[in-house]
Amino acid sequence: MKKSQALKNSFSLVLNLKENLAMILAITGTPPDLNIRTIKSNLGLKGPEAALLFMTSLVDTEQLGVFVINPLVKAFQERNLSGNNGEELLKNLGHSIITSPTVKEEKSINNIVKMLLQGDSILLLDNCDTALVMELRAVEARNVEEPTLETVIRGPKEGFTERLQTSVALLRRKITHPGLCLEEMSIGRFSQTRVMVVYIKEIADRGLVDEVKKRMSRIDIDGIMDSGYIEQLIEDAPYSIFPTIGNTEKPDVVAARLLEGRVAVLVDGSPVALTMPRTFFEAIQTPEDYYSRSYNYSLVRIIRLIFLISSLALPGLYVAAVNHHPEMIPRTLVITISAAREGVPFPLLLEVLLFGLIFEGLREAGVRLPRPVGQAVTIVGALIIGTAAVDAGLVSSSTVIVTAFIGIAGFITPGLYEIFIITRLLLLFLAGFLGFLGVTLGLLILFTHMCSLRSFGTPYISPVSPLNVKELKDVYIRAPLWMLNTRPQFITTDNRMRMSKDQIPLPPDRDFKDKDNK
Amino acid sequence: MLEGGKISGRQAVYLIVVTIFPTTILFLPYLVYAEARQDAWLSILLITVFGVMIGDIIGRLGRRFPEQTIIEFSRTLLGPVTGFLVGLLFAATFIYINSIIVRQFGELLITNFIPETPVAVTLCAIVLTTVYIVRHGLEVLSRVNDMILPLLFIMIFIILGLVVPFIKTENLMPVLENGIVPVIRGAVPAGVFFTETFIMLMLVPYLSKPAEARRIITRSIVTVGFMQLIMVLAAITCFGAQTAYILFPALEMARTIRLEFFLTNVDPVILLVWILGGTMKISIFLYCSTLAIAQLLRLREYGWAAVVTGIITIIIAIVPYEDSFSLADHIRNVGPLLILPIQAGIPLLLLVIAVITGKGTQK
Repeated sequence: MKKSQALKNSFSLVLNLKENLAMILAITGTPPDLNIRTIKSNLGLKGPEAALLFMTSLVDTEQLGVFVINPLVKAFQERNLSGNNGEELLKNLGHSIITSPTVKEEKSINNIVKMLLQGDSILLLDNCDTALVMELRAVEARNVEEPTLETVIRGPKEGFTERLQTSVALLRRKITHPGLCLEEMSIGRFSQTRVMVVYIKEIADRGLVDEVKKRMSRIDIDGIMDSGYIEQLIEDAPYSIFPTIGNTEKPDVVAARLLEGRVAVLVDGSPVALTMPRTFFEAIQTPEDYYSRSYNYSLVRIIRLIFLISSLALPGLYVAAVNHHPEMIPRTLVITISAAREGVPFPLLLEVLLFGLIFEGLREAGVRLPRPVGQAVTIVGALIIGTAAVDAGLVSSSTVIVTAFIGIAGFITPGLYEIFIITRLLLLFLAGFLGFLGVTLGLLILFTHMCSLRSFGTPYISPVSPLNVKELKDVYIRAPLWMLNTRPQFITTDNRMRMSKDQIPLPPDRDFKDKDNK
Repeated sequence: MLEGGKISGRQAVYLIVVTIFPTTILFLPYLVYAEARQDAWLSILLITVFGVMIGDIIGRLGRRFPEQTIIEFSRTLLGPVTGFLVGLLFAATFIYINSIIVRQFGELLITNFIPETPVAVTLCAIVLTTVYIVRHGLEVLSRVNDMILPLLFIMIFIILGLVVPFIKTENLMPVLENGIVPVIRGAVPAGVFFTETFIMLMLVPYLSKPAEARRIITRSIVTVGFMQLIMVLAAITCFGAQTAYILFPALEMARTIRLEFFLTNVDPVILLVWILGGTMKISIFLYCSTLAIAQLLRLREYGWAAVVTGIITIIIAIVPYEDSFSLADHIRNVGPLLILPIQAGIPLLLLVIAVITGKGTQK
C-alpha cells in the first residue's frame, strides 16, 4: 500500500542517485537481465558518481561500450568534467563526451522505466534530477524479404518486417516529402506496443486522420500481438463478415494508398500494415495493375471480378441449375451430369457441401503443415479424393470440377478469402430451397449488406454505389495511368489532382529524329 | 426524424425508373397491343405524355411541401381528422398495390420458373428480403438500386441488340389503320403504371434538393417511356401479328435468340436479373407503406413497422386470390378503378385545395 502510494507520487527523479535507483528498481524489480553499471572517478567520495542502466537482453552492448561507457570512464578518470552542479555536468556529458547518435533528457520515472524496458540505456547522475537516454538497441530482425502473400512479377519485391524502424524506413524511402506525417502511439497495457499512424498532411482528409487516432486511442487491452488486433478493435462493422480495413505487407502499396489520401497504421512486431478506408473493389486491384501497361490488366480485372462472383455464387448456381432448372444447361451436358450422378447416394446439396468441406480441410492442412508434409497432403487430395471418391461413387465428377473451380477462383482474390465460405454456404442453401430465386435473393441480401457498410466514412462499395461514373476508371478496368489524374473522390475531396492534365505521352516531333540523322 | 438519409436527384430518378420499369417491361406490350395493334408505339407516346402530366401534379405538390410527405401535408391541408383519413387511405393503397405486385411477381415466377414451390414460400422469401432491405433505410435502398438498375438496363440492351436481325419494319404498317380510337383505348389500361410516380409523394422530403422534384419525375417518365417505346417497337417488328398472343415479349425475345452453342435457354438468366429489378420495386413500395404507417402512428423508428407491414402485405397477397386467374381477373376489373383515382385523383384534389387555400410554400 505504502509502496504503491510512493510510486504514484514519485513521478519524476529526485536529486539523490541512490533514491532514484531504488525507485526504478521498485518498479522493475531486479530482473536478471537488468544491468547497473556504476562509474566513479578515482578521487573517492568527492568526485561525481554515475550509474548506467540497461537491459543486457535488449541493448547492443558492443556499441554501448564504444559510444557510452568508454568515453565516460575516460572522462571520469581524466577528471575532464566541468559543471557547477549535476544538471550542467549531465548536459556537458551529453553534448561533448558521449558519442552515441541519440541522446535525450528525461525526468519522468515512468517514462524512464518504459524506455529502459524498450531497450534504451539510461544514464543517471548523482546530484541531478535528469537522466540521459541513449538509444542503442540490439536488433534481431528478419531481412527485408518478398511478402509471401502478395507476390508480383513486375514491381518492387520488398516487404515490411516485424521491426517498426525498418518498416518506417522502407516507407520513408518511397515518400521523402516532409508532408509524410508519422504519429507514434503506444498501445497495450502490458505490451506497450509502438504504433505509427501515417498519412500525408497535404492530401489526407483531416477528419479521417482524427477519426483513426480517436479510435486508436480508445483501445484498452493488455497486449497487441499483431496489427490484426488493432484492426478488430477499430473496424466499422464488427459484426459483418466483410473486412472494412485494408492490409498489406508491401511498402509500395502503402505509399500508393497514402498518396490516394488514405491513412496507414504500422504496428511494431507485425509486418502487416493496415490501411483505411477500405473499399470492396480493392480486392480485385493489385499493385501490378498499375506497374504494367493498362490493356492486359484491364482485362485481368474483369477476369478477377468474374472469378470473384463465381467463387461466391457458383455452388449455388450449380445446385440451382441441376436441381431446379436443368433446361438451362445444354442438353448433352445435362445427360452427362445426370449419368455421373447416377450412382451417388446423396442429394446434390449434400454432395456439394460434403466435397466443399473436404476441399476446405485440404486447403487448411496444406497451409498449416510443414512444406514437405504439405506436398503429401496435396497428393492425397488430388489423387485419392479427386479420383478415388468419384470411382467409389461418393461424389460425381461434375461436383469435383465445380468445387475445384471454386477453390481456384477463391485464390484469385485472397483479400476476401474470409467471406467466401460463409457466403457460399448461404447461397448454397438458398439455392437448394428456392433455386435461382434463392440465389438472386441471397445476392440481393449480400448487396444490401455491403451497401449499408462504411469504412471510415467511405461507403464500402464506392464508386459503384453510390454510383460515380468518373471513378469507375479504376474499378472494372484500369485506365491508362495518365488518365488516372485525380485522386478517388470517395476518399479525399480536397487536393484531388495527382498529376497535371497533359500527361499523355506525345510522340516526338519529326525534327527530333531528323536532327539525329544530320 | 424517421428517416435520416438523403438521396441525390440521380438516385431518385433511378428509384422511379426501377419502380415503373420491371412491370411495364413484362406486361405493358401485351396490354397495349391487344387494343392498338401495330400502333401500340403511339399508345406508349400517349401514356408517356399522360405520365408526365400526372408527374407534374406530384412535382407541384412536392414543391409546395418540400419538407413533408403526403401523410404529413394532408394533415396541414385538411386538418387532423380528414388528413389522417387521407393518409390512411394512402398507406392502405401502398400496401394494396404492393400486395398485387408481390402476388403477380410470385405467380410469374412460379409458372415460369419454380413450379414445384408453394406460392406462400416464394412470396415470404421475396417479401422478407425486401423487409431486410427496407430496414436499412432509404439511403441503402437507393444504393442497392444504383447497382441493380444498370444491370437491368444492360440486360435489356443486350436482348435488344441480339434481336436486331429479326426486325421487319413492314410489321409497323399500316399506321393508324383504324383511326385514333384504338390507340387511346390501348393507352388506358397501361396508364396506371405510369402514375406510379406517386411514390415521390413519400420521397420528396428526402431529396437532397426537393425543389428538383418535378424535373426528376419528368426525366424518369421520359426515360421509362423511351425504353418502353423501344421495347414495344422491337416486339411489334419482331413478332408482327403474333404479339397479341405473347404474354411476356421480353422473355419471348430472349427465347428467340437461342444461344445454341452456349446455353440452350437463357430466359432463367433474364428472369434472374428481372427478379432483382422486381424485388427493388417491391422494396420501394414496402418502404413507402412502412414510412406512411410509421408517420401515421407517429412512431420514432420504422424498423419493426417494416416487419409488420411486410407480414400484412404477404397476407393480403396470398389470402384473397385462389389462383393466378382470379388475380388476373381482379387486376383487370377492380384494380384500375381503385388505384387510378387514388394515385392521380387525390393528388390533383390536394393540389387544387393547396392552390385555393394558399397553403404551403409558393415561389
